Amino acid sequence: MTLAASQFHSSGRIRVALLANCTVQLFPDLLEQELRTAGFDADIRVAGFDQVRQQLLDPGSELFANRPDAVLLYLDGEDLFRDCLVNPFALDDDAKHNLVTARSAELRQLVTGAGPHLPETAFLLNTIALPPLTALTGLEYNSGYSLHDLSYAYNRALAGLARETRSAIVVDAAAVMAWVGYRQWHDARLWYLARSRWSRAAMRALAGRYAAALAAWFGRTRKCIVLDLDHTLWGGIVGEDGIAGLQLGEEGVGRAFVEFQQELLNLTRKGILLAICSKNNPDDALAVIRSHPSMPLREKHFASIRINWEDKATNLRSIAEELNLGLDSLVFIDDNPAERALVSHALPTVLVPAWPGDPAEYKFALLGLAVQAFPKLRLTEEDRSRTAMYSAQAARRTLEAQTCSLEDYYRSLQMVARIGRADAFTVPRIAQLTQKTNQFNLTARRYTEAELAALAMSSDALVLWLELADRFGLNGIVGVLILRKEAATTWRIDTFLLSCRVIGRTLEQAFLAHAYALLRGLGARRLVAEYRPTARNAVAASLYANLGFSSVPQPVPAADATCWEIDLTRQTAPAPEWIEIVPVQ
Amino acid sequence: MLNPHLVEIVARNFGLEPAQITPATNADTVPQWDSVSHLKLILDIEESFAVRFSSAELGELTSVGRIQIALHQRAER
Repeated sequence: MTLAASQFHSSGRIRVALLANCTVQLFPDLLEQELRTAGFDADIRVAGFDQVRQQLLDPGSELFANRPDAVLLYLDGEDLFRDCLVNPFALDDDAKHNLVTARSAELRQLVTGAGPHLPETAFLLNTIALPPLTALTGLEYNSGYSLHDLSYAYNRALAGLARETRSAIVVDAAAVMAWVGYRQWHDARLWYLARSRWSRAAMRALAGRYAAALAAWFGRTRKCIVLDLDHTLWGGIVGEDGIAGLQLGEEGVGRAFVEFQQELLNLTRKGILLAICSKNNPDDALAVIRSHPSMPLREKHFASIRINWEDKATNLRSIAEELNLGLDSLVFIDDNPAERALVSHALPTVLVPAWPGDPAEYKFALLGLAVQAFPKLRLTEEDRSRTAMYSAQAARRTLEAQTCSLEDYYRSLQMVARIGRADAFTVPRIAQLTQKTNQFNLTARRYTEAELAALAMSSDALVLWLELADRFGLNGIVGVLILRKEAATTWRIDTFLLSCRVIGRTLEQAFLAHAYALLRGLGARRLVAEYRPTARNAVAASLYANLGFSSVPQPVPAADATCWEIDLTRQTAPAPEWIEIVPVQ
Repeated sequence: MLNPHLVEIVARNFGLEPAQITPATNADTVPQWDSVSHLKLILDIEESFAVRFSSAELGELTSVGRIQIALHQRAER
């Protein structure tokens, strides 16, 4: 893993190789558009027709030479199982089983064989679906004849591959086909004239899904959805209709608002934060949230609440500040087009999706939006408990206000920091932190899971995580320190970051003090570090000066980074006494 | 008189100036007009004019003049 590669990712420039067993020449334009919408500047190379094996099995192939960040390997079910479709009566169960096993084993071999040559590359695979109208229609499920068995077994094998291989990602093309509808997905003219399996509608939909998968892989996701109340979370206006007059519950369109809220609740289970931004009398609106019998969402589900008569742009700024998020992490949902226009004009980095006028459309509008704005491939423990952590954060702020001195406050938190080395269980969260942490991040280097897994194995690197618990509960992994050996007795801080939730709690001192001890054990005498300013990390600018490092001239005077070093043979600052450190072996 | 929307789509697809495009502009005179870009052009036209050509037409509509006539026939139906 080189530094150049990580800068490459954060700039949004990516190299994509497209391989398929059918014609995909009509696809790159649409894929590039969707990737641009997702924030990527993609260089897409298309391998020739059915070049899958040649490109992936030959270490000297053009594919390997280009070192793509992502390989999109599209295998269409109708091509994989062509013979079965030509005569679906010919194969018995054993033959079908053997065929699926052979096809999935071949795919596994292609991906795991190419992986070592491209250790940082994501391999995007796809589920398959066979046409829903075939000679077996009617016989399927009722007789022993089946085509569905093939796609089912093949897709199951894909899921196994994705769980075993970190760099293998499954894009559920079968679900996209079902959503688009086969008759819109398949353009028979393009099949016969160009051997393309997709209509243009199919290409658009699939390109969107590939872009979402890559956004998730590179950690380019938003974090918080900010919601209006009247006509958005419930039907009607609480200030006029009263709590009993709202549309919310089992009756009629009230059910649409309930189901919309249920899906918002599901977002919190994936680690997405919810916030409220509403022009209302706070007492009226809070009464609905606290006591309406049909509200799936309650106060505890919202990480931040602004119910007042201020303009919404001001409120969104203040929500972002409270949650320590950038405005580019927010999505704003409001039924009122005038409010949406105001916010998108005043805060262009906030995502303000067009929103349907009919509440019946809300649920699927939200689910579609979530795929694009909050894409996820895997869930971490932190994702599952993020909302609860933010609620605890609010309790901590209250305590801070009640405690007199800062040291008393730190002590009252009863902090316990567990520090350990990266392993298979912690790499996903560490990658997520390097990708998402903008404020307390000294170098803002972004890493993928594959890059970190490789780094963690190296004897010349230490990839450390810090997990924090306090009297309000577990915060999860909130700190990352990556140290690299530069010379026999010199180590460098490659990456040092803390989640914004724990800034200002002296954890950085504790983390470094522990690292000094580890490095001394490895024979290090000198530790060098740098601070690379970004648009958002000013909070960490004076960290090294404050912690006893001395300033040194920059080796490369071009960058605006500041460079630092500390002599490990001398006494260094100890961990603060109010943080208990527990090393994890 | 060529339909200005058609001219705009052809110009965009092949990187030409609208003024260069005549009914005689075809796959033989425009080097970029290959089989892949032909399908992209036809799909763009289908989307813009909300029409659908048959597979036979897809093979035949290889000049701007022919495309315009096919669009006229659709409009008259």
